[in-house]
Amino acid sequence: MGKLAVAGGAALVVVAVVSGCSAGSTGTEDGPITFGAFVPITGAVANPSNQDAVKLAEEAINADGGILGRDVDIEIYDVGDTPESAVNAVNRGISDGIQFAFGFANSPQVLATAGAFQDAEVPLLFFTVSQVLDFETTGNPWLYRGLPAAAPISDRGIQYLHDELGVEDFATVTTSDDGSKASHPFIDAAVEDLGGKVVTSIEYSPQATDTTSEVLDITGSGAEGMFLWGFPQPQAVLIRQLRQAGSDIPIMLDYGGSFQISNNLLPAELLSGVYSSAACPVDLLDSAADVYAELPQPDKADTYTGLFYDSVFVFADVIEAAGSVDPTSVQEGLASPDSLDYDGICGSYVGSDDHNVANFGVVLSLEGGELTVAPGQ
Amino acid sequence: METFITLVAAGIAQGGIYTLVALGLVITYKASGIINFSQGALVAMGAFLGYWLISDLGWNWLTAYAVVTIGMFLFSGALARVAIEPIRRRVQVMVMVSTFALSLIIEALLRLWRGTNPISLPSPVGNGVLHLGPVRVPAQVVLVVAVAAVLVGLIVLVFTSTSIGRQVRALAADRTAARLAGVRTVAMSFLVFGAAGAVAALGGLLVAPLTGMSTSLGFSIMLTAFAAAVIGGFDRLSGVVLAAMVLAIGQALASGYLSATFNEAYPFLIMLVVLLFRPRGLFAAVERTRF
Repeated sequence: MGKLAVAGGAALVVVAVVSGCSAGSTGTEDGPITFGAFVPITGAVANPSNQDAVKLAEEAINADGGILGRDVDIEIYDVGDTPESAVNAVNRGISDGIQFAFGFANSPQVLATAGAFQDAEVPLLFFTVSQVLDFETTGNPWLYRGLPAAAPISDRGIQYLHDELGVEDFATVTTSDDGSKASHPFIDAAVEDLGGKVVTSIEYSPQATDTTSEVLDITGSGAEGMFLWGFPQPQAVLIRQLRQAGSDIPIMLDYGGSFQISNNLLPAELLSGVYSSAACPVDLLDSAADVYAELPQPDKADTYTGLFYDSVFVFADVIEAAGSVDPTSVQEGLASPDSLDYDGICGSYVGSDDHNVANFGVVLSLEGGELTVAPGQ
Repeated sequence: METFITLVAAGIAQGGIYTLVALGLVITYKASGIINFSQGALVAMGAFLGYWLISDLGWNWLTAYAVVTIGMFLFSGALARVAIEPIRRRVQVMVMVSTFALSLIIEALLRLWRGTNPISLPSPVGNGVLHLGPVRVPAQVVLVVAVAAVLVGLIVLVFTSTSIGRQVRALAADRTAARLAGVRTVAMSFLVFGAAGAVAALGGLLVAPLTGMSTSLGFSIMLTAFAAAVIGGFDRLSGVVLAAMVLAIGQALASGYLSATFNEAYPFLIMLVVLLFRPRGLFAAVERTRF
């Protein structure tokens, strides 16, 4: 009797484990298509709007018949704000059997988990701009960038300064951290492509509390406009000192320029003539208005809210084009403009063999401490 | 010439900031012989409390500054009583490391409270500039230098001309003898660490409108202030103030005329050069032995 009970119990355990595994591994042809949304729910960059956007996208796509006639099941994983917490989240997601993934808002987290996605053959759409994650650097075919890279952000900002504001002589400035200064060649290249001239090129400390020498350099160079890429706090120090020194040249910030207003880093009177080459300001884009209105906490929405929402539809577009959820087909589809050509709430996503699929952006004005789409955009 | 004057003016402004933080280091050292590395974190704490009262709760800046300064006096005094006094008889390195640990704890708590996104404290004097000849000096910078000058004067006055000052100096010279002579060592210790905390908080409140705030706001400033204290001699208030100015003006001129890339390294380079020729600093008190 005892042996029978043990054998029966063991059989039950085996059945439970096997059925559990098959329930988690939802790659069956009839079950839902499973996505892992890697969202910072806790930590410094947590934002509830990102989860809300994922849920809205899931509801919208299922209400519209799903993908290839199958429902979408999106599991949200908290990646926190450290590489370690991201690795834990990704390990859970992969053991849960996710087929496609999107998310993350910082490069170290993506770097720490890139190998796991490659090993599990799960395509990932990530939202960081750092060049260390360029496809030509990583060589990882499963990673795709869903946020405009440094080059298009620089191009758009420089083009606005040149075409709309008539700037010919540029000061190009970045903070000296690796991530920011890696953007410097793209900014300088954008100036040269338009026939402009870089009259001074500066890199300064992200811990700078005094930028007098940089201000003297900029004002002495005769620059008519400045592109400034870096951390918001040193950006604020330089802008403050430049304006207080009497310079009123137009200043273009990178996509994080909105921090100057959202975090009250600079008062309104010092933001005259300051712009930001932004990615997806969901509160300002007509294309995002319907989704923005449905968000439970619209005041929390930011660029990433739009990116999280669009990602599900980007995958849907590619899967529909491939006619299959085969990961290799989807991974290859993300690299092809024939498979991916989708207009989301942030703008256009186009398949690209350089693995940068986000093809959008807009210049914002910070005039008077209010974020608005810049004139002429 | 205009460039030179502008750089010197920027150096004086930075010197004022370093002085505010160095003052706290010096007065705690003078009274206790302890180099308190939590001073930088107290700078950040003062700034964050000010932001909370002014930007979140809508207090006027004068009331907020007063409440933060008094609050930080009490907090720092109590902190020293709880966290530093019990280990003050241990090896000095251990005490220094403990104050550094305190600094990390305070920064971590600030991160938990406010997150890591940078924020900025509004300036009580606005964003206007004063025209001093060819140089445009932000009004906030003038305020920083003025407050630093007043505080230096006040502290010198207290140390040299009051009973409290004499008791603190006695405490520094020989703690046991001071106690036997009737100096209330615990109360004096509370007073000194409290005053250092209050000065640090005031420094944070005044610096934050210029630099923005993060939890590490005071750390790099404290390091340079430490260099000023090393050069000036920890026991010489006037020497430390002068050293802070020398370092800051040297830093500004080197950044302007040589390369701004090494801006943060210049003060320490100057410190190393000074220590090479004057190992006890420029203004350290000369010890004489009588036979």
